[in-house]
Amino acid sequence: MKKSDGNAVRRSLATLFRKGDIIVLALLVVAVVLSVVAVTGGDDGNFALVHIDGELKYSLPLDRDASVDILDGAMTIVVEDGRVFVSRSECPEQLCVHGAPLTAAGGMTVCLPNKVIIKIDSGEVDAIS
Amino acid sequence: MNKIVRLLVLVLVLVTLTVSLAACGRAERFYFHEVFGTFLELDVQGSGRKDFADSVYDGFKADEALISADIASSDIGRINAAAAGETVRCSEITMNLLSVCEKVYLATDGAYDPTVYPLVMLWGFAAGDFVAGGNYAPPTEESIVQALSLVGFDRVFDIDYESGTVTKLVEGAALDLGGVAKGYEVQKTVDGGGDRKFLINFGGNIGANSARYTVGISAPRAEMSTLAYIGTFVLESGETVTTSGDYERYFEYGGKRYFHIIDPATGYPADGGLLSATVVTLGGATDGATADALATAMMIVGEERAVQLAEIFGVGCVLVRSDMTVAVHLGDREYTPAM
Repeated sequence: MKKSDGNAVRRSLATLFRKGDIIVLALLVVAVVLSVVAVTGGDDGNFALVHIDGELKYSLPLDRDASVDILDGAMTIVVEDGRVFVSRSECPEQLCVHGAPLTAAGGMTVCLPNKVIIKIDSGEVDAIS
Repeated sequence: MNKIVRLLVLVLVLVTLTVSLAACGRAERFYFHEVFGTFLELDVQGSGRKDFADSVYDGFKADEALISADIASSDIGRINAAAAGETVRCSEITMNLLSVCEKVYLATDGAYDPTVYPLVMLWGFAAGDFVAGGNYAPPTEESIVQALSLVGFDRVFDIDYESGTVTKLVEGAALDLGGVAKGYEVQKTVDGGGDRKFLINFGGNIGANSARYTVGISAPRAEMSTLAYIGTFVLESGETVTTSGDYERYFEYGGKRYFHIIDPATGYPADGGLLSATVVTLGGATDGATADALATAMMIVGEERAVQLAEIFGVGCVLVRSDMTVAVHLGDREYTPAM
């Protein structure tokens, strides 16, 4: 019973698709999957988006430890164990250095004097008040 | 290829294109500017996002030129520079904001007072002066008493709403609308947002338009928590939220924390037993400017009176007490404590 059903399906598929069609379709499915992965950033990977003077300059993956010097070394952004913080800044207010570290849960660090904003992309919260 | 295969190919190509385009636009959702001495973030959806963000920023810049205490040619700059007896003609926005100030001043028995500015300057908390982590000491008792004589919304200025003028009555008195301006601008943006979906975050004053957003409430002691927020709730379209707290502009001296919200009754930082006060204009019952002023007042008046004020004005509030426990008064709105 089952076997003959399977044969019937295979036969009707064969009338629908030719070999070349299957290859084209398979390639397209791969393209869809790849573009979806590109959008969601892969394995739930979150990014810290670093905007300087209103322009997006860096997307730092939270799952990769890093120390990034920006503004010719005037400011250092550190990614460590999934947390992002400003370790050092040559700015008058120092609010950025004393702010809470950012995590995948979301948040934003602002350094007005340096015109730097670090924001977690697609965190659990859209904004923090 | 037969028809079905062609259709499938077409659908898959379209899906790929759409998703890829979405990927391109992903990072271009956020627009940042600096205005009013703080940041302006717009998280915008739909076409013409950048133009929209730019137009909001342009509007804020225009208002800043009228009401910023840091701009000498602004209404507030001219009022603050005026001698006693001098009358300053003001723009409509200044008069609107002064009427909001007066409303909250009266409702809070003077706890919210925009004329507390000389004390804020004396303490070194005025914008541009303060350095986080810097070495500061409280001002002397005499200087506080002296500055207190310049404070009192009902007596140091004469405000004539009909003619749109402000007359200084006490030499040295000064105004700062920083406690209402951010909430006002956020409300104005939301009111004029039409059906465009966006979130606006103006120095922690947040508004939602044509969409709902999850908003976190800042953890007032970041060093004690793993998350940047203590809890979340959903901000509905048309609502705004604002938080006042003791955790950004503060210094420690002799083991005590001194922060930027000065109680006009004492001349010292607020002592209401709260680390932060968050006000939400649930259902848009009250405007963002009023909510902004209320959050400041709540830090001064403490929990019991804060909850009464929330009821009077029809707003929701979340208060973080000194012991880090949280009082949630958001009506039916769900509040989710962070893990």
